[in-house]
Amino acid sequence: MNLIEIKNVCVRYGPIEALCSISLTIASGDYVAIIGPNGSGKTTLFKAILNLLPLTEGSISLYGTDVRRFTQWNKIGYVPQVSRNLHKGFPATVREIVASGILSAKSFPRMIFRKDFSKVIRAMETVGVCDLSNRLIGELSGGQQQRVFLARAMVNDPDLLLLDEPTAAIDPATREQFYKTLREINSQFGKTIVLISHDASNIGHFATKLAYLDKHMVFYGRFDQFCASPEMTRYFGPHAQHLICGQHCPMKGKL
Amino acid sequence: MSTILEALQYAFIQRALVGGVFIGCCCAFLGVFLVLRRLSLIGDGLAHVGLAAVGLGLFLNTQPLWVSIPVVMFASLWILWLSEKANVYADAAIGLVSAVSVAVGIALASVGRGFNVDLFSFLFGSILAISIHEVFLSVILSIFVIGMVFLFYHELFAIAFEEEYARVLGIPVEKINKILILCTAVTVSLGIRVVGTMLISSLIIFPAITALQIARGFRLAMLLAAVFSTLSVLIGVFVSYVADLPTGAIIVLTNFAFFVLTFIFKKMTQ
Repeated sequence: MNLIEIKNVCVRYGPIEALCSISLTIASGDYVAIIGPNGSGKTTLFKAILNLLPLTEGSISLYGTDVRRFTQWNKIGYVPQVSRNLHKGFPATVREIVASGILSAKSFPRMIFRKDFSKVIRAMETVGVCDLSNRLIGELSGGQQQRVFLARAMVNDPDLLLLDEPTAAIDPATREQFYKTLREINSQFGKTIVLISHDASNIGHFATKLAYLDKHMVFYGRFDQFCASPEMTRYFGPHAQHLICGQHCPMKGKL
Repeated sequence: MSTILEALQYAFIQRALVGGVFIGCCCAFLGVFLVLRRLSLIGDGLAHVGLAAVGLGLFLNTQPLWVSIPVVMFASLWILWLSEKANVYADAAIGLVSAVSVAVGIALASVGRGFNVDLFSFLFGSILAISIHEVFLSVILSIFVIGMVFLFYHELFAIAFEEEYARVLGIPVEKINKILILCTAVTVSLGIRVVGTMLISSLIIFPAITALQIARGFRLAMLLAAVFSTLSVLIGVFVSYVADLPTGAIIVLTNFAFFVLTFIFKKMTQ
């Protein structure tokens, strides 16, 4: 089943073209990494998928429904791009932040009941943040915060997870651990994951597909195919091949 | 203690306490959201509008509160429209609307020379002079505002934390923003009676920032803000009665004292 279908999408900010002629299909069980240089339209693509931006051209369907008419947001978990200082001083506990994710499954009046907290605990257990339950969000490290936001995205047990640069504020060791957690969520729980990353060399070890974006879709396929493609050399240069693809392990995911 | 019991015998003290506590709680609950969303100075801007509206009410020889509530609500929507639709920064929109309002207020005060003394009481607040009708109106509107905060608590929390994420959750952010700003407008109109236009923003800001110093959770922050606000009204009313000092100023200074104490407590326990 196709969870996301993007057909010939263009997005413009006034006269500036952010994305053009993007077509992409993401099926259930995929683990897709979207890479590309700064300003290549990665975050814009996510915002278009989440109906936060109007499309200039083309169409996006989520679960077979046009995104403008889509209402089942509880089927999608989203981890936005965040900077660590953004939430400094905010008085919410980890449990309160994770619980707020439940709201997408509620209609007016949006109340969170005691029984909903079993979902909160399950999501925190899945990503390993139960011990942080009563800590304030601003007191956590970048890696811990990202895990909390992942738990918030997973609280409704969605089929699809969209993550915008979830490892931007964390150190390489924690980053690798984070990717492993995502790999487990993908393989053990069957969740579809779409992730934006600048970390082309590492993400290739974990994702099953790779999309290279530079305002248009440069490449979409398996990581080993990308390493062998002329686009790899054109965009990263002849010497980058070893750095990005050299230590690449064979992928174990579904293709 | 006997002085407090003696003070409680007076109807004007009872009215001041009831009205002040309800309005103070409204300010505290809304203040937590406004402070976290960097909108705390909206109280100051709307208070300027409130002063002009009170001037208009006195000029028209009607109950000032009946005029100020709708006028301040309209001004709050104007600020929201300027910042959301007209590409004016929120602080600039607040400045624009409050400056126009003060100009209107000055013009009205100049035309209707007879009510300048009454206008002065709204500038610095006069809760001890609050009438029984004003107390009823304050209590009813305060219950309404507090009810709205509790009804939309989760939406307000999600928007305060991350507005864009709240949209992804399917929350109608524009509608909730309107509700928040209209509730603030009503609260500011009521609060002008307690501490006056000069100090109303402090009634919104102080309990919130005091609670944020020590709260270990969002619900606790709301509760603590309400407690600090209530205590400052109680202390303010009794101290001003005993020492014959202006009530609004004492309420604000008590709030400031709570803030300093919690700040020191936080630094000592870190």
